[in-house]
Amino acid sequence: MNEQPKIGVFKYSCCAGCEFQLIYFQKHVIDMFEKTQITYCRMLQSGGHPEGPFDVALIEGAITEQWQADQLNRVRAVSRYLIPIGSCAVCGGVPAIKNTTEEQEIEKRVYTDTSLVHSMKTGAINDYVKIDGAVKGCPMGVRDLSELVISLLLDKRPEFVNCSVCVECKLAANICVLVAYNEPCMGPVTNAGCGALCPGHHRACYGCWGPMEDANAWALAGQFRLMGLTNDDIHRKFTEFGQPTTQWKAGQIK
Amino acid sequence: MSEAYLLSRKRLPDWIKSLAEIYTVLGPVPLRRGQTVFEPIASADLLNPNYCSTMLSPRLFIYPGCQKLFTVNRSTGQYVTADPRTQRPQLIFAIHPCDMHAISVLDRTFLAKYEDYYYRKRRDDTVTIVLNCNKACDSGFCDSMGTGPFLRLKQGFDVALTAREKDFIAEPASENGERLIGGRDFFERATAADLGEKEEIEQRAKRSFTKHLDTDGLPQLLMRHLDHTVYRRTADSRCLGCTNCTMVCPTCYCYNVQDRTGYDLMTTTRQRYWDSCQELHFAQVHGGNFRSSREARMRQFVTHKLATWVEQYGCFGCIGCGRCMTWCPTGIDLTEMAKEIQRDAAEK
Ligand code: SF4
Ligand code: SF4
Ligand code: SF4
Ligand code: SF4
Repeated sequence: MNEQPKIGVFKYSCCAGCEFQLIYFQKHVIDMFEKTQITYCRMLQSGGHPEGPFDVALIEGAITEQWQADQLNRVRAVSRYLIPIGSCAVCGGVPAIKNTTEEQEIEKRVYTDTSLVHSMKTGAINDYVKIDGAVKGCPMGVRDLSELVISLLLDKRPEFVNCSVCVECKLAANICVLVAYNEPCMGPVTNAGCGALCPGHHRACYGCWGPMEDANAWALAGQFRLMGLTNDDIHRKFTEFGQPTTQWKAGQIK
Repeated sequence: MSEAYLLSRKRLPDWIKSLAEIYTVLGPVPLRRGQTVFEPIASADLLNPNYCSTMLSPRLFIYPGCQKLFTVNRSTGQYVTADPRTQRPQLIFAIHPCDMHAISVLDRTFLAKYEDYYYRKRRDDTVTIVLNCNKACDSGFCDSMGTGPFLRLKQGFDVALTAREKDFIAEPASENGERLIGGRDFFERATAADLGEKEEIEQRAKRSFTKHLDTDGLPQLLMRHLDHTVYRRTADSRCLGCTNCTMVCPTCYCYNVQDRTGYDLMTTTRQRYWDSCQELHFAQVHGGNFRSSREARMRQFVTHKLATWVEQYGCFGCIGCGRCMTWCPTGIDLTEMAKEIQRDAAEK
């Protein structure tokens, strides 16, 4: 690529942790800023060019309001690549837990005056527009972010991590907490990238990176039941981070 | 091999200590809540020679899960091969016969016509001291696979140990093995009576197996029934595609390579890491995925281990360690699948 690629960063419903990761916490912040041009990012600078065009638009957060969906469509139209970053954008993440409860009930629990709230069912970015890949994680993983930026600079197709957490867990030689200690680990249906962080600390994986492509949620839910979990427990496990996803639907039993 | 020796249990620490002076000794060490793991040990204090099995086999010391292969630099044109060797030569102590057989199975892949440089270096730098099993482990069926409970290899390892109440019978199988024993005053010569007792222990060990697999004609049978319903049923109702089975299997050799380029956009490092046919993208090639169904992937695992391996390498790809079923989150057991196919064929 001759010119520095132009990056736009858009934030919807989320904790902004991924944008923090992008701007402050990841290892290659300086390299990235030297080699790319961030033309729109509200956390970084006011103003900018939200109208684009962008070589890549990074989308953080889930869609919970109509204006977000409308803007997202406009961003899509002016971006060569559009990449959701982090679980909220990729699979609904934490903001999608609210989908498990009736909308007005959940609004009343949080706001005294709901007249200003125009919230809708939480959706992931690819429920609204075509995406060109995803940087998964909660917050987004640095390995995949680097892979994205470097691939953009080299004009090659990025290779994102796309296997189960169990793969990284075994490569890290952790004793499997599901098999050895009967912990209800979400690792077998969750996309890798975290390096099996929780199992590495003898904890069951929560599934915070969202589903892996070919997850067999039905089979894992069945195993959890054999391990003594109630249907409610299992439902919570499969809706904590990936409520809107098709891959985890079969685990969302009531 | 030539001679057999005796090492009293009391002198085991002396032997380990003297071995640790030359090698990084990797031995079975107890971990939390009943698990055992192979780790570097400096003395016999931590050693648990009565271990049953480990989650990962000692394969990983010769064929690590993740390994750097080379680095290239676009601007200088430089190509640097990564050095696969460990800082000191290593010695695997008390590796069980099935796992030793597994390494000899891997040798057929990595050291045959096309020699794998990285594997070769590590293999040559690794000394192996086998400990025969006096009792079947929980889900092992090595006896059926001809890989245990006592070692059946004649070469490719250095010493074989058999535990008795008060001592170990030690049989060197290589020059290196001779050296590890020779000149050490705590070894005594074993007698014919000692070796006779070894036979008895082996027979007793063979009788302790509860898990068996009839391998007679099994490869042909499996290849005749590739569309058996057991694959689909097991895959859909229980297989998570998580790859734990192949990750823990001591003979699985598949790897993927990955290139990572630095922000200078000039240096690229290639690494390889264990891959698995149970993973969706394993069979992704230009134009499609030839094993996109879980059923096809399950069939690949079972038939590779118990059928096509024989044609490929002249031995089974399964050494009967029982790891895949133990560490499968839903307990999928390839021997059960094979037996179902055998039962159905017998009924017809
Ligand atoms: S601990 Fe969890 S992530 Fe690790 S291998 Fe077991 S099931 Fe998979
Ligand atoms: S297939 Fe299973 S039982 Fe056979 S060697 Fe591999 S892990 Fe062990
Ligand atoms: S069983 Fe699968 S992972 Fe193992 S060697 Fe065969 S193809 Fe490779
Ligand atoms: S470990 Fe079990 S569930 Fe996971 S891929 Fe292997 S057979 Fe399937």
